[in-house]
Amino acid sequence: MAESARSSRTRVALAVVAVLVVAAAVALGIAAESKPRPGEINYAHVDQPRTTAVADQAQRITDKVFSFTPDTVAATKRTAQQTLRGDAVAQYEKLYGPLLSQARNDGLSMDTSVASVGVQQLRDDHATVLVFANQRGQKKGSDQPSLGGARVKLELLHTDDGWKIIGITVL
Amino acid sequence: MTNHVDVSDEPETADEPETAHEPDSSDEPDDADAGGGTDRGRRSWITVGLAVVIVLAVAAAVWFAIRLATAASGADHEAAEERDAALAAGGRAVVTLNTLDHRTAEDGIARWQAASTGMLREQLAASKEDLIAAVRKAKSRTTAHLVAAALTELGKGEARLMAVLDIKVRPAEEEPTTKRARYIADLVKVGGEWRLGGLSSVAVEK
Repeated sequence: MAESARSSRTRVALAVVAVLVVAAAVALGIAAESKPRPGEINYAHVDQPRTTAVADQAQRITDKVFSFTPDTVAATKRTAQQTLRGDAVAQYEKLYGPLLSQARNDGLSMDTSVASVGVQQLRDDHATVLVFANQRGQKKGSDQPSLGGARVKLELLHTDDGWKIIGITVL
Repeated sequence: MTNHVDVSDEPETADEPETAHEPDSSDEPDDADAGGGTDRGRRSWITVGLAVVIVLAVAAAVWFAIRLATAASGADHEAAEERDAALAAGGRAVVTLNTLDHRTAEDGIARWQAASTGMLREQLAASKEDLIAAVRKAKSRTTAHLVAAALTELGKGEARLMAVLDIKVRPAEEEPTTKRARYIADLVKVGGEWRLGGLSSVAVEK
């Protein structure tokens, strides 16, 4: 009889503990799952230092890889090789391959200067930025430069070697 | 399989267990299983069940506690929502200020004013009559579509937006034309609402 009473007290205690622990688990579950995971947040303009870093790098790369003179074609190509990855390599070749040939053959120069950079997305090691740039192209012997306003969307990937461009979309 | 046999045996011995129980359970533990239907057996199953529930719940609580500790901070979440609000409102405002129909010119300019603040709003108020007269004279309809937008800066109550728009102009007689334009807009938060404080088309420098 004493054993039975003791075991029934034990069961009541266990039941109370079970209810409390289940309630705690439910409360923690609701609290945890109502918050977004860090990977679900777009940190553009939320993590200001990283936002500035990716914007600066996008500007630096854009200024360099989209600018050349007949004398700097090799340097421009080298910079492109160092800063472009994945799809961006073929996209750049399609956009700039013909122009770089013209630089050698016709003495074409192109000066690209970024006017504005806006970071749209910044998640983990991925970022997308919108770039406005002004372009001035000039052929040797011609005193009339052709001017253009470029709108480009860039996709960037953070590697061990810093931010690299992995996608170029001209808007 | 063995359980099955035991349970089916039960009814035949159902008359005797009350007395046979105590010695049985100590001598032959196997028989305790056979008494799954008795009070005592049921109680021990309840105990085991409760223990299992507690273990599972503790495991779940620990898991959720870790999830909670590694969740994004509430401040970051709010900042992200603030950015999205500025971006969305800014994009809408730039589209609004590039939309005008000569048939509803007054309403159109009123919408421009409602979307703007500060200097821009004052300028619009000052040139309102001229703007309406001009669009009525041209009998044109202008609509805009937002192609892309991004913030270049985001501060407390202030932001700067860059936007790419396709602007379609339908003049009275001629064919409609669509041009893609770049804009930079200054956004100011007024009474919890983002408005345009300044808007400039980014022309190609000549």
